[in-house]
Amino acid sequence: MEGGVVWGIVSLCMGGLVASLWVLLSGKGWVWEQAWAMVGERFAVGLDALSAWFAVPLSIVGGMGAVYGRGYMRHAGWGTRMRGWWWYAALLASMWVVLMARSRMVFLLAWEVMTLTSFFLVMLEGQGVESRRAGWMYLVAGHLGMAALVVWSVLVPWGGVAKASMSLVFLVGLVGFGVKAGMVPLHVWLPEAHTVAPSHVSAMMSGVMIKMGVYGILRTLVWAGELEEWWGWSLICVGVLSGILGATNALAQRDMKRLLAYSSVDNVGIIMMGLGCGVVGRALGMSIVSACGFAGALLHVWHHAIFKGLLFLGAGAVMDGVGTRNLNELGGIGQRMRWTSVCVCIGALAMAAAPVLNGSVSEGLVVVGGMLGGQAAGMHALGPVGVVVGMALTGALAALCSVVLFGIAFLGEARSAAAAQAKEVGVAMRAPMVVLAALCVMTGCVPILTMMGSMPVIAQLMGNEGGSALEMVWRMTKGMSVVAVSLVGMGLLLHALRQRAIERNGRVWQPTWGCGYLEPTARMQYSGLSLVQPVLRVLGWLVCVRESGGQVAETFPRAAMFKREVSDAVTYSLHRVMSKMRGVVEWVRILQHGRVHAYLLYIVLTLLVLLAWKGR
Amino acid sequence: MNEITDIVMVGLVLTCLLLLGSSRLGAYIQIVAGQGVVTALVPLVMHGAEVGLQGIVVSAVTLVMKGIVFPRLLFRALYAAGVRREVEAYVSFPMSVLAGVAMLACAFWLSWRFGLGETVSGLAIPVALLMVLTGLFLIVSRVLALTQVVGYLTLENGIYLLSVVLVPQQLFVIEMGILLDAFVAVFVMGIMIFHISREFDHIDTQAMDELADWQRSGGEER
Amino acid sequence: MKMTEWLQSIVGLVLAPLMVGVIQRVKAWMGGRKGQPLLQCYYELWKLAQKGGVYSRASTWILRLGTVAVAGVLMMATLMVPVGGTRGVISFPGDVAAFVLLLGLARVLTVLGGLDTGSSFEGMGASREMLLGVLSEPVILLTFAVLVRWTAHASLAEVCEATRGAAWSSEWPVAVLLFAAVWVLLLMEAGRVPVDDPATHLELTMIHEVIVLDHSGPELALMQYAHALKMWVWSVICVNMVVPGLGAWWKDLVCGVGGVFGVAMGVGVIESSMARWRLNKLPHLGAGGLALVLLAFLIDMWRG
Repeated sequence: MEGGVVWGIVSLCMGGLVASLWVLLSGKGWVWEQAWAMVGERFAVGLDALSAWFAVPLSIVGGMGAVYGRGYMRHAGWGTRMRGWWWYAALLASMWVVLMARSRMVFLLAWEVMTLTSFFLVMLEGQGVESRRAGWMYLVAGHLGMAALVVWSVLVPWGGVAKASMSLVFLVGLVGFGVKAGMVPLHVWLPEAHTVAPSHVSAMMSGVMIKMGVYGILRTLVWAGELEEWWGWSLICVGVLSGILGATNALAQRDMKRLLAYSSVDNVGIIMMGLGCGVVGRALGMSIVSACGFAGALLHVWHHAIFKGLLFLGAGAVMDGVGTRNLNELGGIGQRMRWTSVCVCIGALAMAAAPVLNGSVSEGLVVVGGMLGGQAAGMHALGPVGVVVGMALTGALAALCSVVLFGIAFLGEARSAAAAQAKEVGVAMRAPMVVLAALCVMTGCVPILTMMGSMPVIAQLMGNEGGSALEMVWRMTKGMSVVAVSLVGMGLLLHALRQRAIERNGRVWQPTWGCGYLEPTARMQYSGLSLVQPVLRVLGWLVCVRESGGQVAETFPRAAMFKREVSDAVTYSLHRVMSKMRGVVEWVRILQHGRVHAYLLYIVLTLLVLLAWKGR
Repeated sequence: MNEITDIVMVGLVLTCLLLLGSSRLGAYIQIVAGQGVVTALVPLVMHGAEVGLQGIVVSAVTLVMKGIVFPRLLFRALYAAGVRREVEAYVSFPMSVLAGVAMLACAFWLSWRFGLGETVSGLAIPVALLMVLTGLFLIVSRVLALTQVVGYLTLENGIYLLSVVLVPQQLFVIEMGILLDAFVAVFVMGIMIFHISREFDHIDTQAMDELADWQRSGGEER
Repeated sequence: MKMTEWLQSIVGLVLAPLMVGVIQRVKAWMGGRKGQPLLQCYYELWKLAQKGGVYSRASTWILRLGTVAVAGVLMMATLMVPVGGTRGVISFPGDVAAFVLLLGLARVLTVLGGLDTGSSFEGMGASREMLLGVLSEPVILLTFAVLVRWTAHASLAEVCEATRGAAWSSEWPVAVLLFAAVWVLLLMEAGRVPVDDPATHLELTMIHEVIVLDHSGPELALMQYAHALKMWVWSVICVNMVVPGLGAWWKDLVCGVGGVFGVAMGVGVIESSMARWRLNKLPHLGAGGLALVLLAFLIDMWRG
């Protein structure tokens, strides 16, 4: 029964993958329209290049997540499992409909179903206070975003002629979709929800669902036609903020999944920076800049979906094989979980934008877009140059994140008994990770394939002014391929030489050199937070760092304690504001007192007002 | 304008950034003195032989005051007060340097906005504005009284440069006026620093609000 | 691909370790000693390559992959920056980004190799190395952004060609500021005084040396070679702004190589005349470098 469900989901996903790839490669989309009895609406769905572009990672990560979930949920009860599959399938379906919606009500309904199903999935495993809190935050944030999206869906032209000012539409959309995409400062729900959800659902949410926000913004841009420069500037600002704050918060986390969740915030920042570059480039008529920016952003949508999906699955595997996600209790599991460690290593290096893996291609394109945009005259250059600086800081911090993630959890000596007895996970969980890791390498080494798919989307975004600009993007992607392939070749050559030397002269295994100290223990290793301490000394003002203890006096000091806690500054200040607002909101509750008669009265009054308004 | 002016201007920008980034009181005084000497020579560099006797006199007086008299007075105050040699700041030094770059951007924008760019030299006006802004920044963001004098001197250098570029004709009057002001300021501050340090054992302007009447009386009334 | 392109890349791959020898020689000379032979570094590499491997029991394939990949990455980077005349072997529009990403990969893998052994000393080095990365990365990318803006080219080869001799033209303020910024980068990336003292013998004060404590034999040789290459690529970028362009490719090549060894001597002189900075002063250096680049950017912007 369960196997049937899983294979059903996987085969549907593969079908969707084929369909969307066909749309991308042929460049032909379709729309199906029908009158709809609902409030004078039409029912319209369609699939064009832009939708198909987002449907591809949805299908891949969705299918792989389903296979993985089979193994991951094996300890859960039958009821939980079946509920899980039901919500999972509904989430996938709703995301498909979001991508295909071409009329207002279809979109709003699908969006709401997407939010609700993912809410139930977040709450699937958790009974504790933490998961209730996370679910609650997610639900509230999701519906605040929904409020903005209702306005957006009324204002946006849905492919027709614009009724309202497109700038207003863009702003409302940025807020509404920004909540889903997890842009700073609207990201507060994201680390909570992604942490408590089951791992394959986190992979789904982090890899694909937050991209629906990006999709919405792109859809707005496509429908807007003419782009204004300040839209690009605001995207860049939001992107730089998300990138730097997301990465700084990520590196201070102890929980692997929380780290990954914050890193999703920073990757959304990268996508936003790319989009900003694209918009600025198009507004200024610098088509090369806009081609690089859009291409980088679009490719990063895929790449992030793949490597972040892989990393969340890896975090789930660690959870499964060790029983904890706390970095301070892990360490050395690379020796015992070889498959997982190779896969997570690939994902982490992709997250650090290492050449050969996919993250480097998209981030490289965004950086080059920023650099070329820096050639703009006068003040116009500042936005793209801001992208360059933002990308640099984000990139360096993301590299540190992946070092924390992989280096602390998988390398060194085991920090706890559980880590010392880590067990490799089963095939059902291993296979999806291997597939995603292979995709990471493939899209990194041969980015020409993915570029080919993105061409119709870029053309859609750039109007009809591609041409020679795309030529340059092509040449750059080809160059990245050359670099990747020759790096692999060079590595293999050096490896062979090294291997020969070692074979000839023998090898010895010894304990790690302790620099003369005789009693080193595993607890003395650097932990995640101590690894990033120097960086937090420089950038600590971006987050709330609280330290206590650590004072050692006297010649022979007594046992001392040191504690460092890092929390999200945005969440903290938002909580402050919210608790202030609570007093005001209490007043509104006078309306909501629990007397049914009065509620009926509200309805009657509303009806009368509407009648009066209509009968005017 | 010409090569040498450009060298001088870039050098002046670097002195501003050095001022913002250094943490030693002695270095502060030396940098601002060096900056003063360079600015004093700017009219000679810029206008060459056309400056005339008056210009040479102005430059010479300025050079002597800024290069020799002020640093001496300040070093004397430094030794007399016996303060720590480290500058204390509300804004960290790396941040101050980056703020300096932001101020330069601001200066470029201002001179572009007011159409001052085309008048004489490509860089002189923005650099002068940068010096003014740096001076103000130092006065606001540094704790010790001595550093405020240094900030004031930087400000003065900036105004001097501005007047050299914009009103070379009345240079003599303006510069003599400013120099007198600066002299009085340094002198008074020197005495004051000495007295503050004698009375309070430190020259921390942060602690000066203890002198305010309203605080103490207000506290007693409640 | 022309012979000259390969020739100059091979010059880089071969001569890079000599830079270390020159620095050591200058330091010895400044300290009144005779110093080691100029080719000492080659002897050491050769000797290390003849040894077997000693591995930590905690270490995994990461340490070995790391050494191979780091050396490979730096060799690729050397192929990308042209020391004189013609372009590098690998050159395409936008390769500046690839160059930066390659160096980032080298950093991450070095650090992971350090963490692989579970030693707290190597963890310390790793932590500091990542701090250096966070400080230098903005300067690196911004430097390239200004170079791209200033030269209107997006590939390293063309950028280097266009900047050649810029210090002697009317563009000199930008060139000199960028030269200074790249010099700062060279010190930060290659770990020379005042950022890191390669001659120190105390693990607590090391950055780059401490990460490779558990590397041995061929692995250590690869890491040392990669380190020399890193110094080479940054010197080349640095030098390209000050050496004059002479026209003929072999003249440019000689000039460029001479300039690189001039930089090595400069590093040696700095190293003999000042001490390593405290770690908490490193942000000052990063901010200083950033300020220099931003200054160059503003001046370039102001001049149109």
